[in-house]
Amino acid sequence: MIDPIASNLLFVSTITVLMTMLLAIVRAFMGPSVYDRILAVNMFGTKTVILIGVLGYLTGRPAFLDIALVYALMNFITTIAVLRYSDFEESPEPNPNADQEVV
Amino acid sequence: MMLQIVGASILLIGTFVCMFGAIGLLRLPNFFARTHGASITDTLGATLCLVGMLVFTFGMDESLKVNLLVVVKLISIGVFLLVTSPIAGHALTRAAYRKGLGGDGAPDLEDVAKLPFGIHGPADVTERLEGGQKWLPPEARVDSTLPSDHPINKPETMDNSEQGSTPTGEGEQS
Repeated sequence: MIDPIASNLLFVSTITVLMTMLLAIVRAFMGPSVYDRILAVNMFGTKTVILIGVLGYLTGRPAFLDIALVYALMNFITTIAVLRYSDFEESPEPNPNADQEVV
Repeated sequence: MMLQIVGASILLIGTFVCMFGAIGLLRLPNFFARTHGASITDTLGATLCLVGMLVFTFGMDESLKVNLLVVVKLISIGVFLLVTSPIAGHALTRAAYRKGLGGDGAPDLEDVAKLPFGIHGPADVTERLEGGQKWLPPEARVDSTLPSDHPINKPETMDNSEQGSTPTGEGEQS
């Protein structure tokens, strides 16, 4: 059984996490560079984990934490995959004229 | 029921920390400052939220086995977030720096590792970086604030170092 005061606190926490996700998604849309967008999406994923956990406690079913764990794994993999794509999009091999350049 | 209220309060504090970090992510001036705001939410905010859920779990009147399972899940989520979030942030910042988001005169990371004071070096080094001039590698640099037997001041470039304010011989040295 969940205490009514604790239930209200959990509800306020849910609203706060939703506002956090809203701010992050605003930065993801208006970010001037690609890295701002990746950063905002990464933070959005972390806040999704927290939101699923809080919703699980609010509805009295803490088994939602399994889904939160899967989201945490997927968020990390997504960030690293997008970073590798954006890091090697030009040319992975080194410049052959690198040592002849004038500094 | 007291443990539930305490846990929900810790959870509320954690979500407020997350919201402050999100405000920083939205309003800070450049990318590296925004990285700071986002990293706060990933470490302090998420940890406080998970600790709040942990305390909340002990206040629920389930059986001990169910609570123990939930606690194990929470601890695994916490360990995973604490390991992966700084790694993702570091990889992101490093990729952005190598792509040139640090500005036109930003040095290479390998050369920064050789600097004696890091990127916030002696004053004339930062002047060179901010003045729109080309950044010199440590082999071609003349630095009068260091002792003359420092390995940065090479013997063939020590002859030009009596003024020390402006870098001499930028393009002619190689």
